[in-house]
Amino acid sequence: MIFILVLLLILLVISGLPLFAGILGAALLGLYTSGVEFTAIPIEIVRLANAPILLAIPLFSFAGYLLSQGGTSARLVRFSQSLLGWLPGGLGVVALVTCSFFTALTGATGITIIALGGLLYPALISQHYRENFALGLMTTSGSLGLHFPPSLPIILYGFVSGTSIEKLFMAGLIPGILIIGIPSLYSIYMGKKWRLDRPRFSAGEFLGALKGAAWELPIPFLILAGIYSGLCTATEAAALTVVYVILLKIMIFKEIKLLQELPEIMKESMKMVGGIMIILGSALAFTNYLVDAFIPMKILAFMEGLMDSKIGFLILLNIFLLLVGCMMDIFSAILVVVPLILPLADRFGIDPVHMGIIFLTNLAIGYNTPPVGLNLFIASSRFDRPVVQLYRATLPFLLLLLIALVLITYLPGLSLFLPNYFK
Amino acid sequence: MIVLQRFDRILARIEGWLIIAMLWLMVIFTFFQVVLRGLYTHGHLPWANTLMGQIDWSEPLVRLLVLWITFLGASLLTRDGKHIQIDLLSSILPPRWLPLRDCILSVVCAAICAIMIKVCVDYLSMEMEFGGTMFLALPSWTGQIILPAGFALLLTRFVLRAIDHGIQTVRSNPR
Repeated sequence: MIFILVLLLILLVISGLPLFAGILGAALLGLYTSGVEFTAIPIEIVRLANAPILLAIPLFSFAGYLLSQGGTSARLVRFSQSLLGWLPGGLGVVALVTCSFFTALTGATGITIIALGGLLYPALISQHYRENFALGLMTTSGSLGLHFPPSLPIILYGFVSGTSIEKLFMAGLIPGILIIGIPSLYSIYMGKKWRLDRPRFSAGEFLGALKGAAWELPIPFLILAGIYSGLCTATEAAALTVVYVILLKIMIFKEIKLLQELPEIMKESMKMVGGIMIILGSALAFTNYLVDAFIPMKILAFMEGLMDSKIGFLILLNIFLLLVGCMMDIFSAILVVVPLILPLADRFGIDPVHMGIIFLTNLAIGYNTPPVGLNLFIASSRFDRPVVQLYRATLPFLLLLLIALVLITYLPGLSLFLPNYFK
Repeated sequence: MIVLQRFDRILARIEGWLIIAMLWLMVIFTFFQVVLRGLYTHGHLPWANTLMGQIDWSEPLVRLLVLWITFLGASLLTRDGKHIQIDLLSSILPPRWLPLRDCILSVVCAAICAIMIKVCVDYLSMEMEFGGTMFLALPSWTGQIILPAGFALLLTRFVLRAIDHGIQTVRSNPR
């Protein structure tokens, strides 16, 4: 009976049952079989109100939604264009850098492709980049910045795994640069090969663009500096960011109307937060059941029988996470998978901070992996191209990102150097 | 049907107002806490500390609001049909089957929410009996009332969607 219900639930989830309902259903079934009171579930959901760090999620999401409105994206593009546009393949580099920056600010929610695609894609085409190159670049750019503060997936990982968010922010910097750097080199190489036009660097334009972007450019750096100088916690940094961005958008740029537009943005951002946090609550309940039923230990015992080397585990982990990444969005993937994997990582001697960076990198790449990576579909509807063309267009970028993934996974120093250095 | 749509709209408007009010409270209180703490620790102003003591209830309040916003936001998200899901079928199934699928899924979600309401009511009655107090000496169950209420909102929304998709299913498959 239970077996049939479990099977049915899995079937429903694959056919599109909202994940929070699927996870709650699984928790109910699990508690029922182990004879535990169902009230264990609300006890876990209430924990959403007990962790100060969770406050950072609605606040940063709100700030991100505000930043995705109005001219922020155009100002950021202009700035990086004036800074990097003179390189061969410069516009490609500009696209990668701006998109990552924007993703870090707005959370990895597919907003980047929608907000920046309309600006950067036509620009790439008009400068004679090949269509598939431009498509692949824009698609993969949609998930590249999530290693940088104040990325929401990092905060969630920190909460779920009990790892210090400050350390994770530091640890993400070098891998984050690597994951932008490798495709950037490719763009420079292609730009040379295709002999694309290179605008000359102009100090005047650079200063003008810098002045334009001067209000928004420092935000991630200020957040990082605030947290590291001990001036504020991540949550407090989120509150300061929100107030700063509200003042910026309403009083300085006058891009958002306080009474007409702001309430709508608040609602939209909190819908997204509701969608993530209700999965978080359900996942807390489900994880609680899993731990009570010794499931992670059982997986551990099974895996230990299967392999005994750290490398073997990491290889399997990468493959598994890529699969997860192309099936699920990054938030639910973190919430559901991290509690299961973490004891394994511990057993194989992998630092939880390093583990977090491996997770993020894998899931970011999974977003672009055929057949169902989310970015592919967002880009397909944004640029009005068939998904199959996007599979082909993203392939070279996917391979490059896999190289970055291998480096990040097998060289823990890339992730651990900075947090250890700044201890 | 028109009555239901009207009910849905009014409900959405109330949820929207609540979300906006709560988010403002969240932003303002958290901001003031940071500023006051900064004034006290870096500016050495004793009155900042006194004031912080006066509003010490704001920190747990703001954390509680996270829980409330979660459910209100999720309810509005249900209205848009935009919950996070693994959506393989919508590109495989022929379009005219999609309303039927969505109808079935909404019914399942409604059933799970109904069970959760019962579970949360049980939990709440336990809290009423044994639970302590939270900030401002309020009994802790008053803050947690959003659990059954939130699942009730979600239930309502899923039922409305099930009806909506049910009608579409009948319309798109005329016999």
